[in-house]
Amino acid sequence: MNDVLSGVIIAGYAVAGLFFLRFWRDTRDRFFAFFAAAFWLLCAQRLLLAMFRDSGSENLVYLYVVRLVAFVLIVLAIVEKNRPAKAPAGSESR
Amino acid sequence: MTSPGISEPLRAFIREHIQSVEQMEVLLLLYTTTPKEWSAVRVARELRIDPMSASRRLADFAEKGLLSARAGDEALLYWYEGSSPTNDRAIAELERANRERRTTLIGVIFSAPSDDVRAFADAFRLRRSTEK
Amino acid sequence: MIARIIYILCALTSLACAVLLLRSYARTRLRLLLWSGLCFVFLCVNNVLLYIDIEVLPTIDLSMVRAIPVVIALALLLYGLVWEVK
Repeated sequence: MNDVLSGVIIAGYAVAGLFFLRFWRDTRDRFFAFFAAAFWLLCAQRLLLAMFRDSGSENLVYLYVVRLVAFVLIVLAIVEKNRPAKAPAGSESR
Repeated sequence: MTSPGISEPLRAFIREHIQSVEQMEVLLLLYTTTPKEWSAVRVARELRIDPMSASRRLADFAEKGLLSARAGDEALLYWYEGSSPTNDRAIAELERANRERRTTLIGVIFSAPSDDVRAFADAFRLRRSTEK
Repeated sequence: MIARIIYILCALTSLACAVLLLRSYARTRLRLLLWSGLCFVFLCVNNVLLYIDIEVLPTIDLSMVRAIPVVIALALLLYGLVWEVK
């Protein structure tokens, strides 16, 4: 059952990543590229976890660093989204 | 998919700022009547659209810096003043394309990604202003 | 110690995404934002359960319990992406 759930999760992250990739292609907004990369990292983490589950718990910590990087990418996406826009408004200048 | 007469900078402008014909009409109305000031109600009456919708469009454009705004006696007033040279050029081209190649232009607007996708990205903007 | 920071950061990030998306949904009523917001809620739950699994109840294996929120999260997200994006 655990394996089934793992498989579903791996596939789910991968497909979600594909959607974000498509949104990046359509909008040329780098925000979606970050999200696609993040979701694929989560997918990879899950996959590696399933493959190396039995090999000893020290290695598993490294996998959680992968998860960290994924979430850091999401944070970066949000940060970049909130940078001042390219076109300066009215009298302001960047 | 290339459409004749719609340059790449204009496409980029549309991708970023224009997701509907209504938005375009609001922007062009203020652009062609510059520096006249408009309230949302007057824009809605002029273009025959819903006032709430007009208000949102105007507020969005003002937030992006494409339109200028000030608080009038009874309502917020908006006008076109020009933002960056790139945007000004794009809007001028938009106006020309609307006159000469409207069908092609509308095709470009509709082929751009949908409101929902953009809304997802916009949800992560931490705005200072609150809008209805 | 570092692991603890990782779990907390992931949980907070998911929570922030959930809040931003659901707040935007409340304003715009665009359903994609609802589904994706809920997705991040469940991802946050997953991260919290991960913390509990490793730090609070290390003797009990919660991996199956943890997996369920992720499945729900992804199901909600994919439902939204497939049906609500025109």
